[in-house]
Amino acid sequence: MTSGRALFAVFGFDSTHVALKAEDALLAADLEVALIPTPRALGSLCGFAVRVPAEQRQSASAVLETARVDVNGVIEIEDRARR
Amino acid sequence: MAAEHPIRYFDHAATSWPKPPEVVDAMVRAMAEAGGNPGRGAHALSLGAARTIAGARSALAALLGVPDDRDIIFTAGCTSAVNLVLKGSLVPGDRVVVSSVEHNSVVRPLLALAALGVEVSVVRADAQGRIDADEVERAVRERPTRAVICQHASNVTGAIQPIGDLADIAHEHGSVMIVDGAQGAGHIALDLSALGADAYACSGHKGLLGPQGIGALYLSPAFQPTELVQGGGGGDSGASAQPSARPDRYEAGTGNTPGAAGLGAAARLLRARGDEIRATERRLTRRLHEELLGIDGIRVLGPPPGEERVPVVSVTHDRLAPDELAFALERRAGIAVRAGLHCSPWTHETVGTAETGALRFGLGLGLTDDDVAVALEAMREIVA
Repeated sequence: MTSGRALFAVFGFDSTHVALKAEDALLAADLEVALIPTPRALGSLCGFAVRVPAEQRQSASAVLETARVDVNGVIEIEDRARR
Repeated sequence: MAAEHPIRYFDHAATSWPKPPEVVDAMVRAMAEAGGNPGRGAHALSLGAARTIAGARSALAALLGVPDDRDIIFTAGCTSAVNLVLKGSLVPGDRVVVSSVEHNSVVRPLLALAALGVEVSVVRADAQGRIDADEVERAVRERPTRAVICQHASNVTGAIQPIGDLADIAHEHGSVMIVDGAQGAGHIALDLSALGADAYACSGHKGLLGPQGIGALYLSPAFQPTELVQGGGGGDSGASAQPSARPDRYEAGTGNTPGAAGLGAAARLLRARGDEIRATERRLTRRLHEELLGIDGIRVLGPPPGEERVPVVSVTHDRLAPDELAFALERRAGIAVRAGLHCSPWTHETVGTAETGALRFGLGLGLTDDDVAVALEAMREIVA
């Protein structure tokens, strides 16, 4: 990364229902969660996705696995629009 | 013109009224504060709507004893839920066994399916409207049967059917158990994980105390009817095929967010106060039932006092027609009841009231001993 902008991990889910379950689980684990419009790079999944700071990616994956929340895809993005 | 009498509402079997303040407040809040399209975006109003629906689904699943709330499908009502499960699971050549006391919400879609080649075998209930599990077993044993279909409770007789036994019979013979729970949900404490139904259709606005325009269908994890409606849902927009995941598979189109908000609030209320509400319903129903039996010329339909029933008491009179009684009750004492066939001509035929229909008292949250006393006194005066 050369821009100095923040990096985030974004988790995609196959339904709103699952995405909200993911948010609940990650909030309960005190991770820095934001729901964002699903980036096109995640395909055409649910209308929103769950974003955490990139350094929390592994923790988030572990939390979601423990909570048995099925993740449909995960990507890393830069905060190009300063979201 | 102001009403001469306060409304004494005995039509809960048609729809509950008044709605609890929590239900009304939740619906207003949903429209004012969560008015986006659920699941279609990530802005605050859309997320608010999605959270409203998810919260309602979770609350209803907890109330009904459903471990995975994805198995709760929101529908436009109980009739829509029944149509989904019947038309999504039965094909020409299938055979079903159904009780003779079903509501038109079951009878009409079944007869539409019969016209396409589904065989409908009817098991007759007794004169009190009760289904005998042994007779259902005999019918299921006759030939391969795809589904056993039965109401949980009658909107005419109040009889509660032995769904657990029927589910056991269905499963022993490789059939699924489909239940019309319009009069059961809310009025009967439910644990759907233990009941044995593969599908249980609920009305949101009767015993569940929610608004009109929303219902729910429980589908067991292994039961996968075909969806009847395809379309957008906010998820997997690039795929041409309908998503296969629940609940999205069965909820194409924009959901009823205000309705879900109201139903969710009602489910939370019933989780907290359901036992108390049901105990009052049972006590008032029994009092009304027993004292109506003491009025000359009155016949009360359904099981005798002391036997379990949902809070429905239907009567006929040997001289006055149900419509005359209903009109007189409202004029005399502001009592709201329903006369006629109650969309259940099969039931009236079974219990011998197809020609006359009946006058139905449907009890529920908000009624008091005073209301029952006034209703009884009015009946005594009207038939004197």
